[in-house]
Amino acid sequence: MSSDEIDQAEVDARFALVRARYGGLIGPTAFGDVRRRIEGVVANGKRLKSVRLQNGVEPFSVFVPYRKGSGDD
Amino acid sequence: MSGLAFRPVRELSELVRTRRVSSVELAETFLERLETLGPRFNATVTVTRDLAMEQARRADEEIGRGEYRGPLHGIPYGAKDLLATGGIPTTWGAAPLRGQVFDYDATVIRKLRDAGAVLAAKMAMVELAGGMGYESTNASFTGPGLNPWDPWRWAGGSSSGSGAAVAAGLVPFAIGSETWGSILVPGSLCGVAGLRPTYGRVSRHGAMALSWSLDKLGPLCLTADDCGLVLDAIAGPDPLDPTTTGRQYRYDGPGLPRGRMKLCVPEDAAADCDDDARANFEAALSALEGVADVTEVPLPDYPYEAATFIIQAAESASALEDFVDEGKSSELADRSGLFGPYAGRAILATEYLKALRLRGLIAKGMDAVLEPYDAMVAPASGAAPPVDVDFDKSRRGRGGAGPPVSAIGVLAGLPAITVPDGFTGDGLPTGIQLLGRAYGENSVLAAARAYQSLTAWHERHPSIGAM
Repeated sequence: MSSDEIDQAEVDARFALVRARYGGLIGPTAFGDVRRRIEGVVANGKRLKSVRLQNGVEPFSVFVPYRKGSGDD
Repeated sequence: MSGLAFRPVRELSELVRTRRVSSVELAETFLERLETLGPRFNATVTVTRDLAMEQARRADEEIGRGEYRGPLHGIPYGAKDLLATGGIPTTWGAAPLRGQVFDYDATVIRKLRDAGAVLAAKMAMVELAGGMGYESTNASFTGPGLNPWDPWRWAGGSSSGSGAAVAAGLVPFAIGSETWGSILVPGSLCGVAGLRPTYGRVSRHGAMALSWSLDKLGPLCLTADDCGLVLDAIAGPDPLDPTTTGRQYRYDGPGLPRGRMKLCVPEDAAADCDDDARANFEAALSALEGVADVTEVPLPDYPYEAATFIIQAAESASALEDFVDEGKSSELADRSGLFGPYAGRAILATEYLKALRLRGLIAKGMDAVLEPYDAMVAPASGAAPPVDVDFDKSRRGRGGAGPPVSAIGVLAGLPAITVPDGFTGDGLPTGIQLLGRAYGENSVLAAARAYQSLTAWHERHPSIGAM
């Protein structure tokens, strides 16, 4: 599989999950569009995966513990 | 006094301060324009006439007593209809939420009230700020945002009404929001100045959440200087929004930079532009070279757009989960409401976290790129597309050859401003954007003021009648 190819098995698996959970809300006429959007998700996920990160690279969002009255509320 | 419609806030405020024009006169002028011209561009959701007249009368009384609050005192404005306004509908542009009314004001609304500004209208917007991934211009229950320069063209989104209203002289300034392009795109397509502040500079309390870590609020105005005046009033820490920075902001305009500025431009900056937009951008660079050293720079190689997409899609899937699960998304104007929200639910936690991890590297990498410069210059957009365009089809095959400055800016939370840089052969405005380091609003505003001192594009207005 080339680097630009989308893994259709991956798309199938995620689409099956979405269809199973939300198929009643989506309706069959929009299934093709949902699948197309999921292809985009998989493609973008693949682009992210292609970048190797060191173990210590943390998410750039800092959780701050909360304590009432500590100036953070 | 006639000819008030297209005057910058800076000029109007001086007229109000010196009592040559009353706030009531201003309010009447702009309310009349909002009520008569606003529908022509699908720019308004609610015109707040009674509130505006009450606030204007109060402003005149205060100014008459010598209690002048500052440059926004007595100045009418519009607020994107995703900002909570107590007792006034706040629809988020979505048909199922037409009756939504909050019992409190967003912090931005409160700050503008404290500054003496006069709320004249809630401005139309793309439904849910584009949270479903809209695929056509007709993505609001108020209809597609129409461009004052050509009503067969789109006004941009998602702050459609805010951009169109400023361009059409319906309000002196408006507040918009941007998650990914929603201030800069309508600003440039409508030929006005639009400022996206640093993430956390302006409180989002009371604003519809689309993507918590990407959402920003900012002004659209006739000039860069006006954007600074408005930002000065709305910026600042807010205990109701823990993401606001503790750094204080004070606008340092309207003067021009004393020495030569240092600007950078990304390699192949105009690769995505059509001929007119590229020519206008190149002319803008030439103009800027009169007051700045302009250096071409490479950008670090990261999947900027993929990371931005994953973060926005995952966060909006969560933010709008209840709305979707209640079946309301099927009532939206754009067909994407039927399928758009579900793909975001197929994002893996590891993908979202990978995007957040990359985000830190990107933020640091871009700061290193921008550190030696006052701002980075890039095209903001081409000309406005036709109002009946199918975005999905129009994007196919375009490739995205240019640098993803928009994605970089929103992903790293950086401030940027767009100002008009010319017109196409069809008479549609195009714009440049100036991107700065985090908390560097004054640098990008100074660069934009310098550019606007060299050009007169911002002094052109669409021919829709003046009052």
